[in-house]
Formats: sequence, C-alpha cells, structure tokens
Amino acid sequence: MSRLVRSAAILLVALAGSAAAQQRFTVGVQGVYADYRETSASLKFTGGGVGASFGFALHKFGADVSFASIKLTPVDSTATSGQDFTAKVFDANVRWRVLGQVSGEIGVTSRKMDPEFAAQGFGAVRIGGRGVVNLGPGADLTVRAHYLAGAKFSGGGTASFPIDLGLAFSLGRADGRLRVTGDYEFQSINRKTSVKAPVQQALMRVGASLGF
Amino acid sequence: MSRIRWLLVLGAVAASALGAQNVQNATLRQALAAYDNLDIPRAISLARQALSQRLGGDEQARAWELLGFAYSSSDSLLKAVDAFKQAILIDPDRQLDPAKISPKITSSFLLALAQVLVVRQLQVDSAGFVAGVGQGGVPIRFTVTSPARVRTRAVSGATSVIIDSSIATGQVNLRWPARLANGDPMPSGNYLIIVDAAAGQNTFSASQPVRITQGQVDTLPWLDKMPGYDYLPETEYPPQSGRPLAQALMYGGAAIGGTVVLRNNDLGSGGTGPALAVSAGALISGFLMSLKKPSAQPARANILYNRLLRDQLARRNADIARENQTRRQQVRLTVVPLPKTGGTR
Repeated sequence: MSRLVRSAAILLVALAGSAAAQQRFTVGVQGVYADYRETSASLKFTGGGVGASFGFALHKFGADVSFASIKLTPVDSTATSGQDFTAKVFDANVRWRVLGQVSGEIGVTSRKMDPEFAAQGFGAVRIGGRGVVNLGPGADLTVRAHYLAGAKFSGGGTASFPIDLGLAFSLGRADGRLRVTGDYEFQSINRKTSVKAPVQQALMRVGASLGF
Repeated sequence: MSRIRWLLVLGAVAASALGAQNVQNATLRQALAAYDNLDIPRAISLARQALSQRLGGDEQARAWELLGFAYSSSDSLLKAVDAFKQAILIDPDRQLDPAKISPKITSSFLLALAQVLVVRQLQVDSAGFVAGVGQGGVPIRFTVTSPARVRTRAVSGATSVIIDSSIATGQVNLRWPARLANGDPMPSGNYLIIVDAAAGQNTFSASQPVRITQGQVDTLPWLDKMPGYDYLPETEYPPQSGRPLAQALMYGGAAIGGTVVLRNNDLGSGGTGPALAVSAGALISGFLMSLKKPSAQPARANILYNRLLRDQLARRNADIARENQTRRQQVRLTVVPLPKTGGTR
C-alpha cells in the first residue's frame, strides 16, 4: 500500500514539475481612476483608489482575478442626491485560447457600494472573449468585449444588453517579469426599472505587474 | 634449293626459341647444339638417345619438343605431331610463340594439341568480394584441348565442393561464388582447385592451389549531416516597421470609438478620459516597439526545411543501420592463388 502511495506521489511530483515549467503567475498593483454615472447627467461621480490583480496561465488556459476599492465623490457638489461612497469592484475570469491569441472567456463581475444605497450595486456573469496583440518584445496589447449576462442591481431593475469593453497594454521586460500596465474598462448598462435608469462606468487602472 | 634455304631460316628461328640454357643432361645439350647448327639428323638421334636416359620432367618435355621441331624441319609431320603430343602430355601449359616459330612447326604443334586431352593454362585470379552478394566470385579460366566432360572442384581435406560440371572444349571461363552446398561461405583455408577432364578412356587433371580468407565486411559510417545540404537558421529578424504603432493606434482608436458609440447620451457627454489615457499608453508602447529592433521570429520555411532535412537524415541513418546490420552478418572472402605445384595426369 505504502508503495502505491509512494508511486502516486512520485507521479504527481513529476506531473507538477512538467506543468510548472509552462505555467506563469502574475501579480499586479494598480492605481485606479473611475468615472461613474447613473440615471441622469447630474448623477456623476469620479474618484480614485487602489487595486490588485492576480493572473495565471498554463498552456491554453488562463485565469485572472482583480479587485479595486475606489472612493467616488459627486462631480456636481450641488446635486442633492449625490453623496460620497466607496465602490468595491471585483472581477474574475477564466479563459481558453481557441485560435491564435484569441480566447473565449467567462467570468463574474461585482460592484458593491458602501454605503449600500449610495449608488447601484451590480453583479453579472461575463461572457465574451479577448485577443492579445504582441507589439514587440516586451509589449502587449489586449482588447476584450463581454456581454454581462444576468445583471442584478441592488435597487432592482433589468438590463437588456449590458456590455463591457476593455483595452489594456503592458510594457516592460520581454520575459514578462516586470511590466508597466494600463487597463481601461468601460461598462454601459441600459438598466430599466419603471423608467430608464442607465448605469455607466469607465475605469482606468495604471500600475505594475510581476511575473514568475 | 629453296627448301634448304627455308630450313636454314626455320632452324635459326627455332634454335633461338629452344635455347640450350639450364639443361643438365649432356646428351640433350648436344642435341640442342646440333639443332642450333642445323644438323637435324644428329639432333634427332641425340634427342632420342637423351630420352632413353633418366631425365627430369622438364627435360623430357624439352627433348620431345626438340624432336617435334626437328621432325617438322625434316618434313616428318606425323613424327613431329607425335613428339609434340608427348611434350604436351608432360607439360600441358607448353606454348609456342607464333611470332617466333615458323607456321609449319606451329601447325604441327596445334595438330598435336587437338589430338590429346589436356587441361591447359588453368588460372585462378585473385578476388575479394562479399559472399552471396551481387556478382562477386572467383574468376577461373582454363583451356580444354578436345571435347570432354569437365568437372571443376575445390578440395581441402575432406571438403570437396563442385564448382562446375559440363561438356566443354576450348577456353572455359567460370565465376565461382565460393560457397558451400548449403550456401554458407567457404571457410578460411588452403584449397586446391582441380579441373578433371574425361573423354572416353582419356582423362586429365589440372590443379591450382588457392588460399581463402574470411573477413568482416566494412560497415558504413553514420551521417551527421546530409552531404551538400546545410541547416538553415530557424529564426529571422523581421525588418523594423511601424506596424506596432499602427496596431496600437487602431486598437486605441477602437476603444475610444467603442466608448463614444456605447455611452448613454442620457448620462451626458465626456467620460472618455480613461479611454484616452490608456490609449495613449498603448500608443507609447507601440511607438517604442516600432523603434526597437524586432525580436527574432520563427522562420517557418526554414523550420520546415530543417525538419525535412532531419527526417531525411534520420531515414538515411536508419537505412545505414539496417545495411550495417546486414553487413555484420556477411562475410568478405579474399581468394589468392598460391604458387603452382604442377598438373597431374
């Protein structure tokens, strides 16, 4: 029995060793700027915060998780309904490279507000894809588009075609160990309750990532 | 008168062909001298006298040959032919040089040859070949003077291998593959190639000793490259171009355009600041990459070419391995004729 366990352990170590040679982890920290609007032109917020991300890739498989905490303040200080709040944005995606550098992707997105009813909390399933363009040794460009399926709002309502677009770049060492990163994410959510109550968010993350 | 002149010329030519050197027997020496002096009757008498004495095989053959010459010179054709027959039977390889000897004597000699059964001029050439491969073999040549059943064998101790058996006359050429009856190559050793000729009661044998040596067949060397073909570099540096900048411009523009198109007009204008900032970052990246020396790219055609070359090389080496495996099981035979000890009747 112990021989079987030992053999299995050796096999697992061998498999892990061969996989480790191909896998890649990235960890990043970012400064975040956000432009958040909902319902009408007068309800507009901007602010900044910090974010962190973690990525993993192995062969055709890839996954990433990111989190950002952004303090938003109303642009128009005279607006009676506007008050400062903190948005905690969480995103997670898994992807599979299907053709060249194009991947099919699925994930979740969530945005929680503190205080809870200062703005619309939001959650959805991301379904879409991304393509990576290699600009040269040490520079990549990523474009992505997601349909935000099953959108839920803290204040209720539905969205027929919420969409998320993204553009990201990374510039640094050719081996990917250290990169400067920039990421733009634009969400357009045509929310409806009894009336139109659209939500729109533009998010910019600028930071650095370490690859290993 | 003309006959006497003819005989004188004939004698002078034949005398130089016969020669008296290395003759031990005094009577035979005198007979040769008499023939040199064109004293044909005395030459015949002395030669017959010498033959009644104890002579070695070579001297006997010379005495009979001298008689053949002398009888031819004295127009005794039948006696000349008989004398030559005796000379041929003693020394079957005896040969007259038609350029030096008169046609009259030569025709008597040839007539004698046709009337006896001998195997002449048995020759085995040196040869080296791989046993059982291609046309390799030992060339064997001999001449049978009249039609006979001719059997050629290789004999060594108890081993006797039939090389050829046929009815033959004149020049016979054989190629012996030097294999035993079961197909195996002949073992190393000394052999006697024996040619037996038989026609009715007449038989004659001639032999030639040979040495057969077995050896290993040379193997082929491995190839580490295909002769005449070199591997090509599998990466190449593409020329510097503005493509990265153009790509950044295109995708950055698409991000801004997408933002403008998808933004909700009810929420007011603006909001493109983050898109502009990140697009600017992408543009800077593209610009830097356009200035930078491009990284080495895989040269697809060269990779395919090298792969083909490697496949070919592997195939050739596999063929060589197979060939060497076969060669290691083969035997190289070297056959060398040894000095002759003489023919036997």
